[in-house]
Amino acid sequence: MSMGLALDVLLIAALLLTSWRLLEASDLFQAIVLFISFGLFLSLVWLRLQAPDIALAEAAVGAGLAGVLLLGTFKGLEPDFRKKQEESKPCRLDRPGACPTRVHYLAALLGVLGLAGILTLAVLDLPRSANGLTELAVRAFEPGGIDHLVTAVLLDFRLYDTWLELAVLVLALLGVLGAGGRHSVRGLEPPWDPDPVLVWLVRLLIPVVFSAAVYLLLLGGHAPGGAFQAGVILASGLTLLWLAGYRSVTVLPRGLWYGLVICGFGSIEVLAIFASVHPETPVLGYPPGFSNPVILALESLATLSIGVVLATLTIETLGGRERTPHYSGKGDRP
Amino acid sequence: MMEVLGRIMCLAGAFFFLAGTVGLLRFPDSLSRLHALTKADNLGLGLVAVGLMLTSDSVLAAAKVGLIWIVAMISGSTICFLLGRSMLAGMRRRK
Repeated sequence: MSMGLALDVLLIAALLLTSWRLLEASDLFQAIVLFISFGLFLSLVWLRLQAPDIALAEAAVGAGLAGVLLLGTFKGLEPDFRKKQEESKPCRLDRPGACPTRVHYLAALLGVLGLAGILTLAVLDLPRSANGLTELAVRAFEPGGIDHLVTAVLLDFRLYDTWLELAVLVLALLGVLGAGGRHSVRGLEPPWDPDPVLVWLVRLLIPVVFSAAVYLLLLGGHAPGGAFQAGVILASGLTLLWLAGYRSVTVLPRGLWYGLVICGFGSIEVLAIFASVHPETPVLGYPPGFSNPVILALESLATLSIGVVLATLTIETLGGRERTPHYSGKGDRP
Repeated sequence: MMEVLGRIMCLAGAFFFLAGTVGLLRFPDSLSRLHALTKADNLGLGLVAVGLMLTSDSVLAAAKVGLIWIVAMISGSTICFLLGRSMLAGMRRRK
């Protein structure tokens, strides 16, 4: 048995074992830790399948960020913490006298029904038998050009892929902020005072983190990388800044924050609309003569959006505290 | 020669990882578990990194591995300190 095969068998066994233990675990905390290890094993599996793009995303999101979100949620399940949190929130969806009224709910219901109708029509409209994008994908792959098949395939579709991922992220953000009864995370402070050692680490790491994000974004044009991976790293940098008491997404003015949240989705939406009215372009295709700099610009906006949305999600989930009036110093560091 | 030396280094690193894992599983309390874990992190990863640097094809690849080791060591020791501190704070609160 070759080394590679032995490694694969070990990895598969580890995946099966962790997923089984994860589902069996009676302790929530244990389940979360197992989920994080599951994500790490899964990213190794993606690497073995020669899909470093997905491995990067899985390690950063599946194991890293999702782990942080789950741990933050777990902390929020502790009773006294939850009480403290609820006191600081003006309105919640599950409480009488909450801010949304029946009109809001009715509008939401209509929107949901409309979307469900359109989705049903779209599913009914699908061709009964189709090869999907296989042919296109294989055509996109020119031997000798790009080392990784998955990267080559992703490159041709990635912008729209990222677009829909962004839509999901923005929806998740709406859900999390809505359930928490907050409009934004503006002015939230970290739940504990920043430790000097952490501040030191953050000062050291931030340049590395941000240059890694830019590098991944630029690398995305021809190698594994791209907007989503860069965005996740940007988000981790923003979260670290927040944890260490520096300026982060929590000091952004509301308008700028809204702009950053939707700029990625919005700009690619413009491209999609432009492509769909253009006569020679297939739906969700690039118009002819569409240049790489424009794609890079759109990907940069997407990276910004992903970074800000994910950082906001993490900060809201980790449960910051509102800025106290007598607060001085810490938030004002450069 | 370099090849053999690199492999020996990797194996030595793997031994430290094994020892660290055994310590993590067998030690009685969180602080001593943390102690076992950091040995695996620093020495194990360090030896594996040196091994990979010796066997790598180019200076650039070796430098990348070295950089990964340095960043992992800095963040690892900081996180270990933060974990240890919060454990200590938890123990004091329980008293």
